[in-house]
Amino acid sequence: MPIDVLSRTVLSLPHHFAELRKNIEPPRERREAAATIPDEVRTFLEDQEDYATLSPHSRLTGSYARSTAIHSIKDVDFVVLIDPVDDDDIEPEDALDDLYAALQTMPEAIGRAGLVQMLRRQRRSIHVYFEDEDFHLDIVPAKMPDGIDESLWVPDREWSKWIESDPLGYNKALSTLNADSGEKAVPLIKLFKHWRTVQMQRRRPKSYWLEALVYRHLDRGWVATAGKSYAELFTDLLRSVRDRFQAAYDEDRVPRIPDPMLGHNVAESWELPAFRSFMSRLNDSIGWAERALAKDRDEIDEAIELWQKVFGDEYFTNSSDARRLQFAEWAGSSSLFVTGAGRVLTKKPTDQPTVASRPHNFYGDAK
Amino acid sequence: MKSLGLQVAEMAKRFPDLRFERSMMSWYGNLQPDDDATLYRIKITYCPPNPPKVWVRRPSLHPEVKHRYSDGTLCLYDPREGEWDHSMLVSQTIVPWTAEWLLYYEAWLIDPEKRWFGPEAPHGRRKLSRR
Repeated sequence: MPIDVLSRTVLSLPHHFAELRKNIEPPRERREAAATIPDEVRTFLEDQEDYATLSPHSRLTGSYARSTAIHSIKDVDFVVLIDPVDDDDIEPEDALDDLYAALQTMPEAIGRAGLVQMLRRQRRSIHVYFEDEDFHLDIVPAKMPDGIDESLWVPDREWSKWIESDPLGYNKALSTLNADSGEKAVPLIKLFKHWRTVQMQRRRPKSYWLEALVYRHLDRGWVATAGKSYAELFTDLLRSVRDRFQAAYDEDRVPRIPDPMLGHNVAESWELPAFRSFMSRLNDSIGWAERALAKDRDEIDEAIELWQKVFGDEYFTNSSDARRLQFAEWAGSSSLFVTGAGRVLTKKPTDQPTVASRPHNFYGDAK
Repeated sequence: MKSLGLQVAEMAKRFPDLRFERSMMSWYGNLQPDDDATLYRIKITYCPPNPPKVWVRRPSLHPEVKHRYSDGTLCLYDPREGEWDHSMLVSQTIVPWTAEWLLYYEAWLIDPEKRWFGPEAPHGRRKLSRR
């Protein structure tokens, strides 16, 4: 049976999913902080005469840059493109230390003296915490030997070496995949990240691992997006991930999650109990989602309750607006019956008289 | 053509809340398209040989809603396709179509994409959809 015929037989609740997608978006004040603070710091670094950078000087990376952030945006990442003028062989530790030193005057220079509480050297970045905004920045110094369109090299303090990384390439690749998927790849990543947050209190897989999974399953065509509602698409994604991980699960090992650009395993630190817990949550949610999709229109309450188990009832809301939109959409393609009080029904009731509405078309665009 | 007496009697049987005022050749009453919807006060005027006209008297409709004529009456059917004629009962056509119009209007009001979910036939073109 063709997919479009199948899709008409499932209860996909597009208006409830539209509300869910809205409910997991970052709030306006967090989006404003994410738009403002990194720009202030990037401009500060670009203006530092004794800290040399190469044009375009810095670039946003991470989930904020890719529009895959959900809930409260707590942090933003960016790379600063260093120009080791006299020292092409600069040690990774020195690159991190130089950036750390360059940032010392930043709080006062951008008018946030006393508000920046933490300035910390991390393994691959300098971490800055803006206490007044409860906002974190991770700044990664990066070498750009072959231009902005090729891989960058970032320092790893622990391994004491430069590591190939392509965050900007991934930004572009995801943007292309999103366009090719009918703008569904990014929303699907957000739904998957939100699902993880709701379902897993401990030992959560990292957001980037989930992004890499969605990217891989869409890019390889294991999950098709054309003509599918988010309800079907999300269920397909969970099934696809479960099926591809099943062999590892059966063999008591942890699967690889390849980096979308460079292919290395981004989930090296995933431990077996955490992976098994993830698979268990996947199976639970697949069961709920499949039952919800199989419900009839007059079982909408049961379907909503099942989706609330998957996404949380705080986010998958049973709002009167969503129900009204859903009913109007169903009414537009159904035979209708109208009661004496003017109630419009899609099923003929047995307990009161109704008039069966004759076929017609509302006429005219203008009032 | 159905007699006015039959139209009035059938309306009273099907939609008892719609009262006919002979001096105005009009029915007045309320329709509520679903349990949580607004209660709409409507007026249906029927002066043959003119077709029936429907106004929503209260509450005021959104000025930008489509499927209304310039006099504010509702566009309920496609006259080019003969979807309504005087052989039909107002109670079995115009009133249920008005209830439907109100249902789709309430959805249109809250829809971020401002969609009209009912079947519609734009001016100047053939019908796009039909149940």
